[in-house]
Parts: sequence; C-alpha cells; structure tokens
Amino acid sequence: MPEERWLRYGRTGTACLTLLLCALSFLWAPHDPHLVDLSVRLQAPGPEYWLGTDAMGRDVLSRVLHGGKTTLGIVLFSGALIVLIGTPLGLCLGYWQGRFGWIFESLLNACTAFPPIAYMLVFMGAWGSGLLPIVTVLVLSSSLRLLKLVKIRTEQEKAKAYVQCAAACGASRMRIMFWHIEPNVRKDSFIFLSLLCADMVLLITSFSFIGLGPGERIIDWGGIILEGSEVSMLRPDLMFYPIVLVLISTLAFNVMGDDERR
Amino acid sequence: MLEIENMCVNGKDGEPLLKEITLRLTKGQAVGVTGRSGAGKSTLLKAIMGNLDSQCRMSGGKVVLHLREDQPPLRYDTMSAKRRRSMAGTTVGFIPQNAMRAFDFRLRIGTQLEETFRVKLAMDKTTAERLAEAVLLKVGLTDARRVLRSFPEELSGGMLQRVAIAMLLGLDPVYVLADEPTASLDRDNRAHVLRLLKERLDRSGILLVSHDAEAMRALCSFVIVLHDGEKVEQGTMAQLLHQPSHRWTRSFAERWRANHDPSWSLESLRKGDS
Repeated sequence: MPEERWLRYGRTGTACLTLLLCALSFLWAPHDPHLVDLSVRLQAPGPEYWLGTDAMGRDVLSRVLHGGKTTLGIVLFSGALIVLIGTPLGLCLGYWQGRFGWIFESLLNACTAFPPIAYMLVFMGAWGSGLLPIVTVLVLSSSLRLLKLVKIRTEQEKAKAYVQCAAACGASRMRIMFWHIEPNVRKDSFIFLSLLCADMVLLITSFSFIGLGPGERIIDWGGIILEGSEVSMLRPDLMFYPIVLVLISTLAFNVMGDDERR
Repeated sequence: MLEIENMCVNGKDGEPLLKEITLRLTKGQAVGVTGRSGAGKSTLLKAIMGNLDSQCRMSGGKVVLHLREDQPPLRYDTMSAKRRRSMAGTTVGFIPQNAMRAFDFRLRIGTQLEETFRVKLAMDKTTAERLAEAVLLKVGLTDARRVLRSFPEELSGGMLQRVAIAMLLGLDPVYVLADEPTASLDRDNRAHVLRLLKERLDRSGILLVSHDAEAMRALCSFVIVLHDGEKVEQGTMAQLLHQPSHRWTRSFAERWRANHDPSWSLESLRKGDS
C-alpha cells in the first residue's frame, strides 16, 4: 500500500532528498564562487551577499553551495566504486570456499587493520594532495571492509535452506550469488555504506582542513572552514556555515539506514 | 536405475560420516532410509546430489545413473559440476524437509516457480506461467493464482510443502530424493503429501528419508536403517516394525507401537480420504 511505503521509507527518502539538495544547490548559487573582489571583503551578511563575504571578497553562500558539490560528489563517486568492487568480490570469496580460503582471509584481515589515515599517508606521500589520491584512499580502504561484510553475510546465507534448494534444482553458481544471495545481503551492505559515507564526509573535510584537500581551485567545505579559521577574530561566523552543512550531510547519511524494512 | 555403490563420505576432520552405503533405486519403487538423527541420512542425500558441505568429501564409492537401455551408464558423482547442474531437478529431483525455509522469502512464489521452469526447461515466460498454474492445481492448491502472487511467508507450511512438490512435478525428474517431507506437517497435509508421492511413483523412483513409520509403510517397498553412517538393517517396513534386530530399530518399533493410531492406516490412505 502506498501509505505504508511512505511511512517505511520516509526517513531514507528525506535523507536522500536532503543530500540531493546539498549536492545540487550549487546550481542556484547567486554569485560566482571564485570571483575575487577585494573591495567587498569580510562584509557581514546582507541583501546582496546573504552570508556575507570572505577574506578575498567571495560570496560565502555560493562557496558553501559549491563545496557541497565537491564533498558529496567525492563521497558518492567513491561510494559507487566501493560497491562495484566490494560486492562481487565479497560474494565470490564468500561462496567459493576452497582449501586456500584462509590465505585470503588473512590478507583481508591484515589490510583492513590499517585505518584510512594510514592509506592516506602512503598515497599522499607518493602523489601529493589532490582528487586522485583522496578517491584512491577512500575506495581502497573501504571496499576491503565492505568485501569482508559481504563475504561473511554470503557465508551465512549459503548455509540456508533456500540456497541449498536452489542448488538442488541446478541453479548455476552465478545465479545463486547474484540473483538469490546478493539481494538478501543488500540491506546490511546499505546500512554499512550509509555509515561509511557519513565517515567519508568527515574524513574529506578533516583532510582539507589540515591542508590535504582536493586542490587550490576546487572548493570544498574543509577548505572553507580552514579559510574561516584564519579570520575567526574578525568574522567568527564564517566557519559556522560549512560546519552546519557537514553536520546536516553526516546526519542524513546516518539516518539513511534507519528505516525498518521487510 | 540410480545406483549408489559403496559410498563413503568423510567429514571435515576426516571422520567417516557414511561407510560403504549401497542402494538401488528404480522407477516405480520407493526406498526408505531411516535411522537416528545424525546417522547420515541427510548426508546421503547431499552426497548423491553433489551438494556436500565444503569440508565434507566423498572418499569412495560411486553414484551411477542408468538412464536408458541403449545408453552407457553415467557417473553422477564424477561428472562435471556443470553437467550435474543441468541434470539437477530434471533428472534427480529434491523435496526439502522444511519448505518454509526452502524458498527465497524475498520473491513471490510465482516468480520462483516460473524462473525455475523458464531456466531449467528452456521455456518462455507464458508457457512457464501456465505450467506453474497447472502444477499448483495438481497438488490441490485450487486458488493457484493467489498462491502464485503470494510471498512464502504468507503461506502455511503445508501449502509450501505442496508448492515444493508442485515444482518437482513441473520439472518431472525420474528420481526423487525426499528429505523428511512429512516431518513438519500436520496430519491432513501429511496425508495429502503422501498421496502425491504415491501418485508420483508411476513416473519416478523415490528415495524417502524419513522417521515417519506410517509414511514408509505406505510408500516404500524396502527400507534401510542407518546408524552412525552404516547400514545396519534392511527389509520391508513391516519386517522392521515387527521383527527388528538392531537396537535402534527396536526402540523405533516400540515407540511406533506406543503412538500407533489405529484410525490412520494404509487402507484409509488407499481410499483417498484424509
């Protein structure tokens, strides 16, 4: 029934809508976020610049909106890659349990023992800061974690009667993995992924804040917070706006997995 | 004929789960396999189907299929997995013990039946749908349309067991491996399922793993008793109940005598009233 559906998926829907707004609202940015005009620097919020201007005279509102595009763009792109890499590999490793399964298990455990920052240090050290190292780090560290989750769930589902019966009817292994098992582990993957995305928002923002951001020309929330911190004596509210959006996005991602489903 | 010759199965630590089991199954005949829980009955079925748990291994013996007079016998255990999968369901069928768990709870019954028929029998969607409806009617589920639209959790255990048999009827295998099909059913559903199996005997040979003495008495011409993976006794069900020799069979016979319900008999099954 349609009303039940709305109630059941209401939270996810609202969260998705919020995230979409954060990511796409740069299209309605009133000013060019890169436009430097030193004659209007550090103005207080007013009719023309709704959140005021920063130290270089750029419109804060437009910058914050464009920041959403970058941060959430990185998160969503990385998230997609993580799913594409982690899910099939997890299904295969979970379903095929050969005698050498323990080798993969040990490798997996060793690699997931490193926190993302360790990967960050390695790749940043080699490639410097920028979009590519950030995405690589996020995708590598997190897809192994998703792989582990999918692998364990696949092992659990594999022992269940419906998989045995499908095999007894002669279903091929691919069919069992992708048509039967994958949809049944999707819920857990989704919850994991939503929490992961929340973490990624914070991670990207934090790294930008310490100067390891996507780059000079690319605007993102962490960078805006960093710039705001430099003029915090004159305009303490500049840091506030991007932080609020970071909080909203993180909250949205956290809430996304909350719905009760069948 | 489906022939199992000296089958030996070892578990994950090398301990023997089945020792030298020999069995013959022909069309028109039902063979019963009984024994204590853990005696190896389900392992036997899994080994025949090639579905053993990853750490168990068939360490000896053969499973041979003699399908037609003019064709050489096939080694079902050593054939490639792909070939065995193509024969699974259509040559060697399976009836699960707990039908409530045997279906993918996420998909409608109709989808599961139609997909299976479409893929296994190389049918197009419409033919598969018609076959699904036809077999549901055959097992006595008169509201076939509603059953096809339902999810597994919306149907009772008895209905689901009948759906499992319906799927089997659609695939029409020559050999049927039934894993305690009456274990989780009430009396009426049990009678229905047994009647369907008896009708099936015209076209198939049935290997019935069960604890249900009445079911085996009604269906099986021959029953073997497994204990700790070994065949310890065999005979007709009547012989096993009245002249048991192994201690498990003796306690089984005693329990049967104690619970025996005289109104439930072979005659009432034959006459077809539930």
